[in-house]
Formats: sequence, structure tokens, C-alpha cells
Amino acid sequence: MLLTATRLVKEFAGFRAVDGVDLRVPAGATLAIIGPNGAGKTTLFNLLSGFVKPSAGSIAFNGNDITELDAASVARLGLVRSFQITSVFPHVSVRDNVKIALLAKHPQARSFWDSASAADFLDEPADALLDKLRLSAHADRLAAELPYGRKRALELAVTLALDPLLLLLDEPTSGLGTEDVDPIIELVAEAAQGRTVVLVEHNMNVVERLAQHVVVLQYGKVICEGSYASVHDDARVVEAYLGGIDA
Amino acid sequence: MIARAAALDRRIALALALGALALGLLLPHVLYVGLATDIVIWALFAAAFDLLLGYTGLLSFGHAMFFGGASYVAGLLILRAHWSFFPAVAAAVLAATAIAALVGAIAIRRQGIYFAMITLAFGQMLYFLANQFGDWTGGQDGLQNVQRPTLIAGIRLDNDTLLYYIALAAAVLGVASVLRVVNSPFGRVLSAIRENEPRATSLGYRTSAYKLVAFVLSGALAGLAGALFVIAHRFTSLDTLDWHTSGEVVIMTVLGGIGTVFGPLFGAPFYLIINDRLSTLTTSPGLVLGIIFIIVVSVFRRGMIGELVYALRRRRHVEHVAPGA
Repeated sequence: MLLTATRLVKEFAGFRAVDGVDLRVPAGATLAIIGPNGAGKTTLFNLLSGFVKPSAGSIAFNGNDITELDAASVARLGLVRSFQITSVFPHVSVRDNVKIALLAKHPQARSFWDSASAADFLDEPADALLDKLRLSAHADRLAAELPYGRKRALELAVTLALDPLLLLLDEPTSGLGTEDVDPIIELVAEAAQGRTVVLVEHNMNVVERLAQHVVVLQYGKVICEGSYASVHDDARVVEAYLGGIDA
Repeated sequence: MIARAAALDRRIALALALGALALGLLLPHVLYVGLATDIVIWALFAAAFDLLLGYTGLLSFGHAMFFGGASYVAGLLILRAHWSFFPAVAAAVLAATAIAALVGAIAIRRQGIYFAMITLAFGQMLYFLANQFGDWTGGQDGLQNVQRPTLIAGIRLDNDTLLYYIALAAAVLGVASVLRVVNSPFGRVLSAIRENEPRATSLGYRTSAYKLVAFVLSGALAGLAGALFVIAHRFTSLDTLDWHTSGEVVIMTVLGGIGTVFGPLFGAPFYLIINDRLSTLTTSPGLVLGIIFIIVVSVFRRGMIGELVYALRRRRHVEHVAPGA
């Protein structure tokens, strides 16, 4: 297993957002976490990526116990997340967004007495990545000026720049119009080649096309897991979603 | 296309740098040299402050501790031990660096108002310590009659105009350092942290360490300004450690434009010249300055230079977008 979460609990002032979740992600798999709003998906992501510390339980990643590690250290081990709300560096050019991400792995990031050209060696890999995510045409624009769909692609580029072992994608298609969803699915599918991916997603079409394994959360608990087909027809899942709509 | 954009930004930067330098060379010919020297010292102080505020987004309300602290260290070394210019200034900068490392290590994980309050508290602590240890610091009287140190063998800095140009050279070096840092790969990471800290963290950056380095560099350069202050004035006092001093550098930086480095170089003379003129006209210059501050900040939300740079960049952006759109 590349990632294992055991009896994970997160309590906020008496409210259990995540309530005893077990998660096992084998290397190379693409796993989707679904569930109605408020099911605890994003909290689970925050726990896995070290942004929030669990109240109980443990997380192991690639042979390391990462339960108490800070977020930066978790990222350095190769577990890198994206954000649900597009999270790029808005007043920095698209290319520099990727360069800043690439720079994280190099000691030059700490050299405050070098000229900016000390990071020029990252131009080539940055442009290659932009090309892969079909962002080359926008390389010199400020990230803030990108159309929303391209921003999501940039978000992915920034995450992929670290060449993570495990990619945590928090709703990669959220807020996208239907015509923008397909390109992002393709990009994620490409990124998933030879990599392990865990994604939170609401769009079932996306889940069906990307994930081999689906975990359904409700009220912070795993209520069901399995292949997309098996989960899709599960009475508990239907109930959870319909209940979710009613509530 | 990025070359063009960058070239234009570089042109703006070059024009501002030359403008500031020309102003610096001209200043002692249009103002009395004491005021000119003050302007250069405060401009350096404000540029150092902008390294922190403009490039990490951290508002320190205790920068007087570096400025004033260094002024006392340099003053004491010159007064009591007769150190010459370079060693005294170097020791003062080191002292400011040490204070910044100590305070920064404690304060840097706090954000927003909490960071401002902690730095303010440390600043006031140093103020009271200086007041308490009157045997060394002169207490309420400050350090008086600090003779001008020798520059190098035999050359004493008694000539005010010579001292002005020495201060200008030091300020140019200091501001060049700030520019070097903000344009380094490290500076890019700082901007990224300012723009979106959680994202930078998620990329594996230990953001506190970066912010601490910026804080220490900012403190060190503020210390350089403080050392020049005591040499120029031949005295230093508790005023240099007072929160009021921390506030003044905030005002100069905001007037000139946060995150521009050059803005504070123009914000400082603007503030000091008006202050100087007002003090001959009215007994309450603070009131008039406050009103001027409110007007300038409401008209130029990005500060004077910040607004100029923004307008120039926008023009570039319009040219840049229009043909392709």
C-alpha cells in the first residue's frame, strides 16, 4: 500500500467531520472519494495532506508514519494536493507559477543572493509541462487573467510540477462548464499514468471515467466502497445522495 | 512576449532607480544637508521595511527596535570605545540582525494583527530596557555628544556633506541589496508565499523559514539605517526606539507604495520634507500630516509610485492583450 489511513478521526468542537475512516490506496491506483456535501471529503484531504492534524488514528505513506508531519514535509515526501477552490499564485505569470513549483525541489529556492536568472534552468521543464497541459499559449499571462478552465489546468500543472508519488485532487472539475470537463478528465487521466491518484469529485461522469475504486463517505464514515458499477447501484449510496438532497 | 513585458518592467525599474539616484545626488543642493541626510537614512529604512511588508505581507509594528537598537550599539561603540565608522556600523548591523533573528523566531508564525502586536510588544520591550539601563543608554537623555567617527585612517567624518555622500552610498548599497533579494529565486518564493501561503506550503515550502529570512534581512538593513542615524545626528535617544518611529516608517512605505521597493524611496522624502516645512508653520504638524496622509492614501490607493507602476503596467497589458484578442 502506498497510502494507508487507519481509524482516522477529526473532531471540531464535538462534531466529528471524519469519524473512523480506513483508507487503503495501492500504488498505481486511481481512487475516488465521493459523498454528499458535508460528508467530510475535504477534511479527509486536509488530514491526508497534513494541513489538519487528526484527533485520532494514523496515516502511513510510502513506509513513513506521516500522522504528525507538517504539510510542507508531507509534500516533500511526494504526497501533493491540489485545492478545491482554484489555488494558484494570481499575480505571477503562468510560467512562473509552474517554475515556483519546480523550484521547490531545488536548493536555488533558498538563494537570496542570486539573480532571477539562477532559476532559468527551469524554463525548459516548465515549458514542457505547460505544453503537456496545453497552456503554452498562456505562458506569459498572469494566472489571474486565465479563463476558469485554464486555471484548473494550471492548478494541475503546478501540482504535477513536483512529480508527486501520490496526487490528491480536490474536485478537479468543480465549477467547470461541461465543455471544459472533458479536457480536464483527459489531463488527469494522462497525469495518472504511472502515478497514484486520489480524487474527491462530485461529477459521477468524471468518477466513472477515471477511478478504478470508489469510496463513499457520509457523515464522516465510509458507508460503501468498490468499483464504480458496484457503488453506483448500492442502495445505501442512492439513499445517501437522495437524503443529501432532501436535507 | 515575456521578454518584452519583463523588459518594460525593467525599464520602469531602471527609470525609478535613476530617478531616485538623481534625487539623491541633487538633494544636498536644494535642501539643507541635515534634512537631506535624514531623507537618505529614512529612505533606506523604509526600503528595508518594504522588503518585509511588500514581499511577505507581514506588517511589523516594531521595526524601531532594529533602527533604534542599532543606533544605540553604534553610538556606544563610537562614544565609549572610539570605534571607527566601518566596524561600528558593521557591529550595529550585526546587533540588529541578532535582534531580528530572536524576535522573528518567536513572531514569524503569527499572522496579520497578531504579528503586528507581537512585534510592537518586542519593540516597546526594547524601549523600556533602554530606559531602564540608563547607565549605559543615558535613559531619557539618550546618548549625547557622539563624536563623528573616523572613516579610514585620519579622515574624520566631520564634514556634513561628506557624511551625506557616505550615507547615500550606504543607502544605495542597502537598496541594491533589497532589489537583489526580491528579484532572486528566493524573492520569487516570497512573492508566492505572500500571494497564497497554503499553496506554497502544499508545494513543500517551509514558509516560516522563508519569512524569517526576509524578516532578518529587513531588520539588518533597518539597522544599517539606524547606525547612520546616530552618526549623522551625533546623538540618539529613546525616540528612535519608540513605536512612533515604527509607525513613521509604515507611513512612508504606504505613501510611496507597498511592494515596489522604489516607492519608499520617494515616500520618505515626501513625508520628511512636508514634516520639516510644517514644523516651521504650525505647532501641530501631526494633524496636518494625518490629513495629507488620508488624502494621498484615498487618491493613490497603491501609493504614489505604486500607482505609477500600476498605470504603466496596465498600459503595457492593454497593448499586450489587444492585438491577440
